[in-house]
Amino acid sequence: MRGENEVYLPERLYLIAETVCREKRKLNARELSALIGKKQEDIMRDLAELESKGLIRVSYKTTYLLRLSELGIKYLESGLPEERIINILRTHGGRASLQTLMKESALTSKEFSAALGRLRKAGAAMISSHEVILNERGLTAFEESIRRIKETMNKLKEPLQANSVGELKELKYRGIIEITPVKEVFVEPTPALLDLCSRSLIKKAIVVTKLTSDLITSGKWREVRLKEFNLDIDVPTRKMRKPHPYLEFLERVREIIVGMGFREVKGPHVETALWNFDVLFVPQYHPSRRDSDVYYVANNVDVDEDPLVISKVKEIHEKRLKYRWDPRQALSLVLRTHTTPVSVKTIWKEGAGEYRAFSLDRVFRPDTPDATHLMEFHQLEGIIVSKRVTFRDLLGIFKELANALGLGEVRFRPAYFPFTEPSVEGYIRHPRLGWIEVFPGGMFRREVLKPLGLPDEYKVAAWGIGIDRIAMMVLGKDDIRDLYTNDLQVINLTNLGKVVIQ
Amino acid sequence: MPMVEVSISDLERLSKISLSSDKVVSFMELMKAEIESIEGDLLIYEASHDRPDLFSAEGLARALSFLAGTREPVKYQVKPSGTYLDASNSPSYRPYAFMAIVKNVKLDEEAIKQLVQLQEKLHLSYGRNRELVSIGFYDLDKIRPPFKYLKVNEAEYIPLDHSETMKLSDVLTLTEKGKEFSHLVKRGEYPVLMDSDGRIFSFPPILNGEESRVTEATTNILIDVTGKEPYLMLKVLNVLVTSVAERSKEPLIESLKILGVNEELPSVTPQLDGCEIQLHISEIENLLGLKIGPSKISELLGRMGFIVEEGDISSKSLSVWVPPYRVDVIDEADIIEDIAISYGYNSLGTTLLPPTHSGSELLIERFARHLRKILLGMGLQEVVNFMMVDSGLLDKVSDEEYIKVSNPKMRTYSALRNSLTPSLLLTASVNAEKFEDFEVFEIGDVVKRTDNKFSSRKILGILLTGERYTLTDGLVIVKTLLQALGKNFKAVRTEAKAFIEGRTASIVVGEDVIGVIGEVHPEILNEVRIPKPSIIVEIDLSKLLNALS
Repeated sequence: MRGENEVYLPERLYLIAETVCREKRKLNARELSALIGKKQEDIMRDLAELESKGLIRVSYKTTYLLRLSELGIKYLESGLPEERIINILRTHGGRASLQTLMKESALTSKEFSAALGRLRKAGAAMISSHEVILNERGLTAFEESIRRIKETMNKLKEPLQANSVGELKELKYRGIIEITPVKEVFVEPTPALLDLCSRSLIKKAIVVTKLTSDLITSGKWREVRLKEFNLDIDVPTRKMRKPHPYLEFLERVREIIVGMGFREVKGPHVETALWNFDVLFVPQYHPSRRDSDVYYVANNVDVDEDPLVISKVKEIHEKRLKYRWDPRQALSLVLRTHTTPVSVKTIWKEGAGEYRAFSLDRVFRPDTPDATHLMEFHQLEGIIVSKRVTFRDLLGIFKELANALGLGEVRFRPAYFPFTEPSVEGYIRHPRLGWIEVFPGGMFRREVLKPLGLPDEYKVAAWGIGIDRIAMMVLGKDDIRDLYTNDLQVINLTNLGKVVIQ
Repeated sequence: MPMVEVSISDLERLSKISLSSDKVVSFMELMKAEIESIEGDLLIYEASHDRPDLFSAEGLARALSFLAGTREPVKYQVKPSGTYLDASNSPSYRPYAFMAIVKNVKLDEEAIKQLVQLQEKLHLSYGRNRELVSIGFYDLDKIRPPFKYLKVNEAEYIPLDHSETMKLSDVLTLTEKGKEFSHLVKRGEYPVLMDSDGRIFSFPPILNGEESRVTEATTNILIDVTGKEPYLMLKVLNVLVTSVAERSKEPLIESLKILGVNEELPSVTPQLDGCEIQLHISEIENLLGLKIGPSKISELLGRMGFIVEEGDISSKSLSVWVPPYRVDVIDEADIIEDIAISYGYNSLGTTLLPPTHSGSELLIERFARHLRKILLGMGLQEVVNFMMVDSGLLDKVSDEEYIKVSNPKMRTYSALRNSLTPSLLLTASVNAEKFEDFEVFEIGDVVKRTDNKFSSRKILGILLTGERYTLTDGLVIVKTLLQALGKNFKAVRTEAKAFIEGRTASIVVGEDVIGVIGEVHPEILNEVRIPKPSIIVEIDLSKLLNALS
């Protein structure tokens, strides 16, 4: 068992603590790093960590590293520019033309004029427009100052540490020396560390980057230190497979509608016009039956429908709409244009009773696909068959659905469908498109229910919602074609979170 | 739904109310009309198909003035004109004709535009593009009653927009309308309207005559409807007559005797009596879920142009007069809808009927979801495709019959898939360039021919595309999947059009073939531009479900 007071430190921290304890004094970090054989920059984080543990105290002081520059080394060999000018003047008897001086000194024009300036300022020479004359009176003091500068320069052949810079600023300005400020770090043990050391309670721990099975089972995990993770480092993503976003949305819809007490039913995608239109009291001359609005089946297939349905539908069309109803037209096959045939077939089969049914399936209407149109899409169809159900209950269902799907407020407008009366269209507010129609429905007409044999006391609230529009809103898609996608890139980029959050 | 254009100033003139944009928007909502645009004086809206009385400015203005309360609905008076239409020698394929007269009208350019529009929209919707009903307007003062509707072998008249006489057979080949509608008449049995001078003034359903053209100077109008569906024609005639009458301060509507029609049909037209429908007050609550008293009902229906007959306060039903142009109203429910509209759909309030049973989904859908989870867990990506595919593609991959549509908009979507193979091949071709290899599945419906009928079936399709795949990889997935469901299977050698011979197998569980697996034939891969080997598995979900139970 680990003793209560033992402190496990990873190797480098341990070394530092141990060294600081041994030396029992304020150590320069440079010196310290030399003692433990590391680079100073490598131990700075360790020092901070030890300080945060209260084991050492860290203090700072700034010193300056002084060093002769390359220019300084050159001047030390060949003399300072002013020194060279004095020497040349001496060989020429104390006076020389500027031209001669310039030529013989081989100085740059900047160095040359700076040197002349210094001579004049110190009163060591007189300078006219074309020549320079040494002034012995000022020269002695000037040469003394040159000697002092060279003495300093000689000292600085080896780099030197100084607490302050003082008069050396002038030489730095002339580019003769370089001054680098150095932040010195000093380390001293705290009494707590000294106490721990004296009782041998500082122990060395090993840092590991990964917990292993061996560490766990052997108990060694107590003696190691798990390296802290750098959370700033970004990680890659992994390959994943996800449920298709659109189907996931449909699953959510199914879940909601089942939760509202509806039982799922299914019907064929290829349907007779009888069930797609005629049972629904859509007159045979109605424009929705034109081949611009319905896909008709080209195959030659025998169709047999219940003669009872046919005769009852014929009767109601001819009696109420007063035109000649053609059974051949009713027996043509179509790709169903809505899922409402599934609802009326359910009523035909189930008859009287209190029940609710839904269908979530594909329907077809001739269209050329673009961002907002498809020739094939899904409808959420539903009916409530009940003695008690009313139009207001239907409006209530739309509100419930909007609420469950997170669609917000619903507004109702009168609408027309040949098979419902009253009919309604529910609108929701789209973030960009404004009010859009999403909830069409109504109460089935008597002319629909009578041939189906539903007793008069029963009513049916019915609707067929184009669910794709809602799917686009929920999934944040602007192109309806992206719902029915087989493109793995598009699927990958879809945000699945939206299905759940809504 | 018909797109109708009206002038707002014309509407204001007819309805005598001033119409702001806001007012137009809120009124149109109650007419089930969807506004397409309002630009300056021009209002364009999509009229509801059940309201042909709103296909032109006249009817719309009438409805607006009832709503605004500036006008009270009144019943129509019809006087006998003393003349007749003889239809006894009509062509048998378009046997019916009816007429009506409206006098004292005042027309201008806009009014004539509206009449033409009304005629055109009625032709398209109720007339099934003139096949069932054809309409004509004439200047009554340019022709001489009585009139005849008869068939002729050949004749001449001056067609509309022409100055010379033309033979009927030439009208069919030389004029635009003639070409468009010639299929509606039989050669040598042409229907014509003739006046008592023996002059042909119309060749229905093709083209009216020029001489009796309705102009801004016309004050007395003759209207005819001819065609195949007499009751539809009568409805259309009522809409026409009542609309034209709106163009007069004191309209005089006159009827004609119709000779030579069968006994069931009216012998005098127009019949503008409208009809009375008994409205049971309890039925309103029964249908809408809202109790409304008789006086409120009366007020609400008045705004919609109905007249509620005075009745006993305590009576359980009211007699409601339906104007003759409201051809959509055939039942009590239609009146109740108008009550709800007049009350305001958004003022009705909503209620929630609690369910009587628990909800449930179909077993096959639950099963499909279960399979989706298993397949996703196996690392396959789910895709979705359309049921509609290119019939050309189906011909390549399938020997079985499939549903073909007779009126496709484009070849890409001209048939229904009868298996998932075409969908999976499309998936492969979409992704083959972007990914080195991929494993996907789709659970979707197909329409298959079994016995003598087509039926929808739910199929699981799996596709493996990539250099590394062989039949074995597909078999591994099938085995793993079936094992997860507690079943073993046998792969029995078979053949299929889409797959390579000798590398195709039926998937058999117990005694039942539940699906097929195969390597896609390179010829097909070439045709659909899939440059890599592809394995396809198809399993029929209900067969699999049967095998499990």
